[in-house]
Amino acid sequence: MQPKLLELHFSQLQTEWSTSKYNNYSDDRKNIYHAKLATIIEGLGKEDFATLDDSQIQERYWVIFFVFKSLEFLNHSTRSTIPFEMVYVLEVALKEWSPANDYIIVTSLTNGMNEFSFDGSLSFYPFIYKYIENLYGVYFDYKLVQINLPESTSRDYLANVVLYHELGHFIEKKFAITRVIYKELLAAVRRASDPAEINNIYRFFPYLRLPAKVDEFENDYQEYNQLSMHISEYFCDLFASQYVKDCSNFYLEYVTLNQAVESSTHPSTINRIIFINEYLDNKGGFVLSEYKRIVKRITGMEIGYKGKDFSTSNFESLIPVEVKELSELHGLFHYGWKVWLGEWENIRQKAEIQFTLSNADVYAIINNLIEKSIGNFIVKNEWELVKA
Amino acid sequence: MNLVKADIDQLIQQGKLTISPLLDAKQIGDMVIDFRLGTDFLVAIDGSNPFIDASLNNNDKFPIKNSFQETRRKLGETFLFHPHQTVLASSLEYVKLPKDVYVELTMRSSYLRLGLSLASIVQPGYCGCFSIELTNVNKIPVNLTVGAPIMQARLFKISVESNYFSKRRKYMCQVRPLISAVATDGDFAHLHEIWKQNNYQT
Repeated sequence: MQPKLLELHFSQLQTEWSTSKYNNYSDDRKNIYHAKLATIIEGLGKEDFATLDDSQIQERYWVIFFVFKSLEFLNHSTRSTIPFEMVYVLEVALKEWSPANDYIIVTSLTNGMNEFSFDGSLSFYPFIYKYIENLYGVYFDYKLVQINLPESTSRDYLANVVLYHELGHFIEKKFAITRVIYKELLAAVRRASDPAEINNIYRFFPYLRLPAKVDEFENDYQEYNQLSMHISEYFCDLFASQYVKDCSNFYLEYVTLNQAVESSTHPSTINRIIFINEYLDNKGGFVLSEYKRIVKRITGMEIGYKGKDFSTSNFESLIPVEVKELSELHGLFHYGWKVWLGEWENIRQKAEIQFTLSNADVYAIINNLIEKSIGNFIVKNEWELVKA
Repeated sequence: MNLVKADIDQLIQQGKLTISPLLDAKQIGDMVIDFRLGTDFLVAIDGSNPFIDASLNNNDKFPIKNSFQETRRKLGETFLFHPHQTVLASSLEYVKLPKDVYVELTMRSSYLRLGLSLASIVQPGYCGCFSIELTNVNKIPVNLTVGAPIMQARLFKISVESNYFSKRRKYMCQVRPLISAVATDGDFAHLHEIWKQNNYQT
């Protein structure tokens, strides 16, 4: 690569930094991270790219990529832009699986309608961190867990149950869960010792009926081949259902039009919903038991419901729920969905509303009350913590 | 009848009055309840709109939201309030009032002395965070702390019950300030028709 191209890229970064450097965050860990980006940019600015050889240029390319990518998410994670109630709840889940406090969840608000995704570029590219440490002496105590979500639904708590699935992608990659399940499932196909086992595998991965496919997957493991990606998607669905039960299925069903056929990246929606419903109904077969066994072995965590149900009719009475413990936070989403899918007449009667509730009314009521229930929990926690 | 502390405590215990969160029981005084500054703000800005249009008479419509910018703070952070700026904010507390109690909301004296003013009436049966429209009439900026008790509410009991939801409301269970829905006021359509008639518009 010509040094001039690197200079072009760095100029773009400097332009971006001229505004991003004034970002304000409500989380001191982000301030620390931000200050380290400033050190890297200062270091890059002192270098003469024209004197670098090809491999040195490539290292800078990745460093600039890293800073740019960090800003892409940090710019949407400032104190004014971050949907902090949602992020707070996701961090509760994150800490259960990764208690070391070395990851920060950051969000990038996208324009696309259903653009929910996890981006692992800043969590799992250790070579970039090595370059940065060697070149500029900067060590990151915190890494970013990057989650994309649509700006238009950033405060939509019914849609945002999907973010538990995206967090699942981070957990899956952190513990390299897919690779182990991949090997174990292929081994079971080869063994073919138990018809119930094998039929259960074929049900969720129908293409494994083809011996050529089994050969292909066995001989060439790829993080992004069909089997890997499907295993990963099922895991993320399972991960999400531990917190929000079947709620993410509802949104998935809408977004995918309940797709009956798998794609190269995702299993069929029908199969995904069956997989989760069987888990929730305690009816799972071999595939589910393999997921549970392997996840337990790798992470030490049991797959199981980690939210907490509560019996309340507060939303129907138009008041927030008084959340008493962390696990109840996850239960809010299930409650919100229950109200949305239930009879709206219950709200009308309970709150003595004398006009017909529109979908927009109910949408506002549920989202406002979930947000306030989470917000009140955060505020009370912070208040009590200092008082203590 | 102005409700006193014992009345207010009783309403809360009976579940007829909701204040959530009530961070400190001392917020309920002998005659008033202190309410705290919430986390969300809509700040009036000089946008591209030439004016805020509180009428239906112009063909060119200027969305009111273009004249406001949303910003958020967390508990304990501050919000710098510039002179002569209009800021929409809300109380930290979510409130549900009984059907026979209304509220008069004013700034606490300490904040009135800084040049901030507020006067609002909240109807019986209201539910949501109190929406507050603040103006700094001082010549110097004031730095406000989110979560600080800046307002006080006097509660008055009335002799008849009133159902807040007897008719459709523009704002339901609001938890953050919302842009004015002035254009949806029923009278506007009527006044617009009169204007069209007088100006030979069809």
